Amino acid sequence: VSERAIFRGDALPETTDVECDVCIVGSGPGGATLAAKLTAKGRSVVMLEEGGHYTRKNFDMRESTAFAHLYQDLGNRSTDDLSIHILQGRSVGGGTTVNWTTSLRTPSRILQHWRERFGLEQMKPEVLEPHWAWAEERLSIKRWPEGAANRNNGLLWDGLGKLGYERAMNPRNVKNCANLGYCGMGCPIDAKQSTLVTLIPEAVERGLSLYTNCWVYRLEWSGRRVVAAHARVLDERNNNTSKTVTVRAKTFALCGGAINSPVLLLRSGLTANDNVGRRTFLHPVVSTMGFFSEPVDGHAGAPQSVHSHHFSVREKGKIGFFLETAPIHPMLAGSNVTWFGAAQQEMMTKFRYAQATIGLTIDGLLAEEEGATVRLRNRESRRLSIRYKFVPANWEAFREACREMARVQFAAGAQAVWSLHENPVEMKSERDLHLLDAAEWKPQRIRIFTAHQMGGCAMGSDAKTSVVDPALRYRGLDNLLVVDGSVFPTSVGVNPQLSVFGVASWAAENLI
Amino acid sequence: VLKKGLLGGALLFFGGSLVLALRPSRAKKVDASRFKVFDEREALVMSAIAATFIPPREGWPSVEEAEVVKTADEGLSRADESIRDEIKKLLALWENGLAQALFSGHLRPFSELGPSEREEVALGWKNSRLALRRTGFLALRTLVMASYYASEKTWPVIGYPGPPAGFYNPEATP
Repeated sequence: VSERAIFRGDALPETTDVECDVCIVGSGPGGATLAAKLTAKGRSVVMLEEGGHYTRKNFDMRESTAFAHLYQDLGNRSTDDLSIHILQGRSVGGGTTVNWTTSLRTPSRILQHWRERFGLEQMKPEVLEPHWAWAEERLSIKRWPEGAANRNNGLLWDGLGKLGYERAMNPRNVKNCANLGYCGMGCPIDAKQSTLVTLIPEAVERGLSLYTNCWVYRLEWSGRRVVAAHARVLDERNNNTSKTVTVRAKTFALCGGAINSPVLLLRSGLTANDNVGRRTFLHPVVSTMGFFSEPVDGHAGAPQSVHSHHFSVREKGKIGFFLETAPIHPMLAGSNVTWFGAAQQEMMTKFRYAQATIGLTIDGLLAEEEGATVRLRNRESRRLSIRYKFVPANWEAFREACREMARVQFAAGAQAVWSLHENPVEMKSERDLHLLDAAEWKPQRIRIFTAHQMGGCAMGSDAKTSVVDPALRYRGLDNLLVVDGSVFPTSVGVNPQLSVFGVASWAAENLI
Repeated sequence: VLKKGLLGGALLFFGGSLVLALRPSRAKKVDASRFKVFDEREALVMSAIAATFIPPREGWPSVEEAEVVKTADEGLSRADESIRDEIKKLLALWENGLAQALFSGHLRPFSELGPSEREEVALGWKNSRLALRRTGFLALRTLVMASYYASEKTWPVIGYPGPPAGFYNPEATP
C-alpha cells in the first residue's frame, strides 16, 4: 500500500487547506465504506481521523499500549458517575481495529421496529441484504468452527446446550486467524479484516487522502450548507498543536461513531431541536464470573465466538438480552473485579480458572427508555459529559441476565459463580441463584460496560424527533450526512459493526 | 439522589480546601521529581491508597515494585486537564483529616493511618451514601488496579503467561 496518501499529523505543515468532493470525518466501518465506494465512483475524497495511524508493527499485544493509543480517553471513557465503562475505538480503523470480530446482520425485528416506530421505510432486509453480503465477502466474514472455540467460549457453548438454550457460533471477519486472543489490542498479524487493512488501503490506492491525528473541532456552516471542516492537529500525546487542517468540500459525511459524531455537531452549534446527543444506546453489559476446576485461560484463543439470542425477545415491557463472552486479560480483569484488598487479590489468583459470560441488554426499544445523553462540558475541552438514565426495566434485565448467565455457567460445571457487584454475590450452585434478588441493583453498585455505542444522531421521518432524515441528511443542512452507528434510533440487538457496514454501503450507493 | 450527591460534592470540596489538608504529613517521603502530574504529597497519598487496595502479599510485587504511582502519573499526564484537577482534589480530600473526622472519626491524614484504619476509610468511600464519594472510590480503584496489572511483574502471580512470542513484529512493514 502506498503510504504517500496517508498524512500523519507530525509530518504536516503549520496550515493545510484542501478541497475535495467529499470530506469524511472518521475511519471506522462507516467512513471507510464510504471512502472505498466513493473513490470507486471517481470522487475526490479526504478523510480526517483524530486517532493515529497504528499498524501491526505497533500492536505489541499489551493492554497498556492498546488502551493508550487505540481507545477513546485512554480506555477510560465512561458515564459521568462512572457507572458504565465505555470501550470505544480511536485510531485508523476506529472500532474495527480493536473489536472482537463478531459480525452479525441487523435482526429483522429491529428493522421492523424502525420502520413502524420511526418511519424508516428503506430499513428492510431486502434493501440491506446486498450490502451485508458485500461486506461479508469483502471482509471474509465466516462462521467460526465449533472445534476452534477456546475454552472460555466452549464452556458457554456447553452450558447453553445442556439447558437447551438457543446457541450459535459467531461469524468473524478474519483471514488466516491464528486464534491468539488479542483482537482487542489490534491484530499483530493482520488476520482481522478491519478497515485498517481492507477498505482504507483500497481507498488510498484509488486516491483517498487520509489525514491522521486531526481532531475536527468544528463544522463551519452558512445558510443551508456546511462550508468547511476545521481540524486541529494533535501531537502523539493527543495535545493540541498550533497546526490546523481545513477541508472544503461539496459534501460532508460524519462517521465518528456514536458519542463522537453528536459531539462534533454540538461543537458546531448544531442541535437539531435538542435531539443531538439524546437517545444514545449502549447495549449495557453485565457479566458473571464462573470459576472452574481446570484452567479456562480466557486470554488465549479467539475472544468471542459463541452467542445465544435465547433471551433477546422477552415478554412485553421487558428488555431483552443476548449472551456472549469477554476475553480475560490482566488490566481489564484487575480494574473490573470489584471490592479491593486481600479479597480482590484472592479473586485474581483464580485468573486462569475464570470464565466470563456477558449479558448485553438491548436498550432503546421500550417507550420509557431515553438511554444516555451526550453533552459538551465546555467548548474548549475535549472532555464530554455522558449520562445514562436507567429505568426499572434496565435493572430487571441486568438481574435476569445475571441469573441466566450463572445458570448456564453452573450447567457447564462451574464450582462457583460471582457477580460483579461492589458487594459480590457468591453462588455455589444453582440453588443460590435467588441470592441475586437481594443484591444492589443500582448505579455504581455493579460493574456495567459497553463496547457498543449507538444513537445520538437518530434517523427518522419525524423532523421533531430525529437528527437526520431517512436519507441520513442532517435536518436543516443540505450537504451534511451522518453515516455511522449514531444514526440508529435504538440499539441493534447484535454486535453492531456489520449493521454499520450495511447502512454505509447502502448510503454510498444511493445517497451520495 | 442526584441533588444529595451534588450537595455532598460541594461540602466535600469545601472540606478539601481547609488548612488541615495542607498540614505536612509525618509519613515517609516520596520522591516527586520522577512525576509529571503528582506533587510529593499527592504521590504519597496515591501510594498509600494503592497499598490499601493492593496490600502486601506473600510472593506478590508490592505497589512500589509494580510502579503503580508512576504508571498512574503517566496515564494522567495524557488525560484531559480537568480530569487531572479532579484527581488532585480527590487525593487531597482522601487525605484530609477533617473530612476523615466527618466520615470515619479519624482525625489524622489518611497516609498516617495504620492498614486496618485505611481499609475502614476506603470502605467508607466505597459504600458511601453520597454518589460523589462512590464515584471517587471507583476512579481511584480503576486507576490503581489498571496501573498495577499493567506491570509485567504482576503477571506470574495471577498465572498470566503474557502475549505469545513469534507474532508481534516491530519491524513489520504496514
